[in-house]
Amino acid sequence: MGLFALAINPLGFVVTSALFLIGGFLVLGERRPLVLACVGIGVAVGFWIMFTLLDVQLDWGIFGRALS
Amino acid sequence: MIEGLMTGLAGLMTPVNLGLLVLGCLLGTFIGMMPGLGPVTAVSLLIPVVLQMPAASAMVLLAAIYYGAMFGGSTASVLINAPGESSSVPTTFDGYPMARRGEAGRALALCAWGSFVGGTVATILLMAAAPTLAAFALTFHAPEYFALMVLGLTAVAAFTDSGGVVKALLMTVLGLMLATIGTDVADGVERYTFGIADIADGLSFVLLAMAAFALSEAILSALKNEKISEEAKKAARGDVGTLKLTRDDVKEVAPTMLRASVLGFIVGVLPGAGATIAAFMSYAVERNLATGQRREEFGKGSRRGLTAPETANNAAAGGAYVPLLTLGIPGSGTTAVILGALIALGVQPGPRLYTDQSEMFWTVVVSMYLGNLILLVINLPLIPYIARTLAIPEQILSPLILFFCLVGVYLVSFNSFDLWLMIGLAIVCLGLRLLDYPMAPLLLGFVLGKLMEENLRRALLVNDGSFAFLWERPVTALLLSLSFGCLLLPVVLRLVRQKKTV
Repeated sequence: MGLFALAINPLGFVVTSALFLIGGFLVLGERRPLVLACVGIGVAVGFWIMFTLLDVQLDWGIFGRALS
Repeated sequence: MIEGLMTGLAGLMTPVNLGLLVLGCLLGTFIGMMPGLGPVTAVSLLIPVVLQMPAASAMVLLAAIYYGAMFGGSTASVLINAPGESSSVPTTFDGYPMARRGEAGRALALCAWGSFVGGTVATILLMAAAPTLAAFALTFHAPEYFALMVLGLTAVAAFTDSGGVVKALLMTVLGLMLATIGTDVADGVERYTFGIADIADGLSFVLLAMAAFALSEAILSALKNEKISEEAKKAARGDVGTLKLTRDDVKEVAPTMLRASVLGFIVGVLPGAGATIAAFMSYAVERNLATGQRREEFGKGSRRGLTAPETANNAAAGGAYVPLLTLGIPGSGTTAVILGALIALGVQPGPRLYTDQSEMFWTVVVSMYLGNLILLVINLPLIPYIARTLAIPEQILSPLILFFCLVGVYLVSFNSFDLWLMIGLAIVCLGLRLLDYPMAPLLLGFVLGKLMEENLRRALLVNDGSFAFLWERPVTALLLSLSFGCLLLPVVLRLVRQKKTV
């Protein structure tokens, strides 16, 4: 959780969320790569889509700055 | 009253509000079904979301989540013997034995009908009691409000679930202390901020609610990392049997439901007593009223033993709304969270809510009733499908809940300092929980602390700094005497018990 708080500003919402979820699943013993990738990335991207639709702009951190 | 009901119905009958009601019931059932997660966690998790909505819609969603989570808790109690929170514990006594006999569907139907009747009776009694109480409370001024809040806090400590009165009082004081953090509104002086600009406005209520309930609960279950039980796997296959009740069932449980509804409502109105005491009390009452064969069935799958606590805890949840909506005093942990949400939405609960924002008051009342109806009509048939979520492995669920907490707090302020603060507070709260300190009084102290200080300072200002109003105003003096009585009650009870054992 501390890492999430540290990473959210530099890495942005989506990347931090996906890494946090995948890391959490791994620490608690989930090893199936498909589950890790689908749930981790799926939830992070799903949240981003939901909040973008609600007009809440979520930061992409260094990735956003690199793209622009 | 009829006019009010019509106003409420009109307020609720928008596609958005109806959608939120159905969504809240389903989501609440889903969260409440997760072992260890109860209504307080469900409501806390949703607060960051509701803060973006209009106040009436937010209240509709929170009420639906509250009822849904209570129903979900009962489902987990019946199917896998894992109550989501303490008020569902008596449901396991007879619900789980029924499920083991292969009557899980029937037990769930009894729960749903019990919840529906309890909720309906509570709503009717709320409609009758709230206007009278609100009219009386309109005569209250700052000194009476201050005394009322003191009574609310002491009563919560005195009737605390775990029986640890001293621990509950300590947590209340800690909550009051946390409420003093930030800039003093009257003098502009910063208190306990240690020069940190991020807490100059005080601690955020959402942050504390998340740390005390949702996050510490999620960390606890992540640390336990339990494997799914065989019962959960069986329930997840949707194998619950018939959901229909027979005529004999109805005849057997109808009087129980009515008794438990009235008892549950009365207990729910009392500050601090709440759903747990109501559920245990009504279970005990039904067992004492039963005779012969019926009495022996208790604990082995009695229909009356299952229906009584289920009806009572829902009626108590309705009852807890009476002091919340009319006096602005929450009667339980969940209503404390709802009060915090209301204040954050800019709504001041109290007698003025009934007179000045009657549309919102009635929308909440009608949504409570419709919420119960939805639980019965939509949720009950969906139970075999919702039960499949019981099979979500803990290693997936725990990180998801941790993530929801972090995102919830981050999205309110977009400030990573709040995340650190929440993590720190959650670790402290986790330690306190492991030492058996109750969390509800902490949150109540925090929510009521600011209001209490405001009213005390206003009263002192009007009385030229003199504290004489505490004993010169009859209602204030009476309320403070009752608070003193609440503090003395556990001591007296312990002395009586000791004398009996000697």
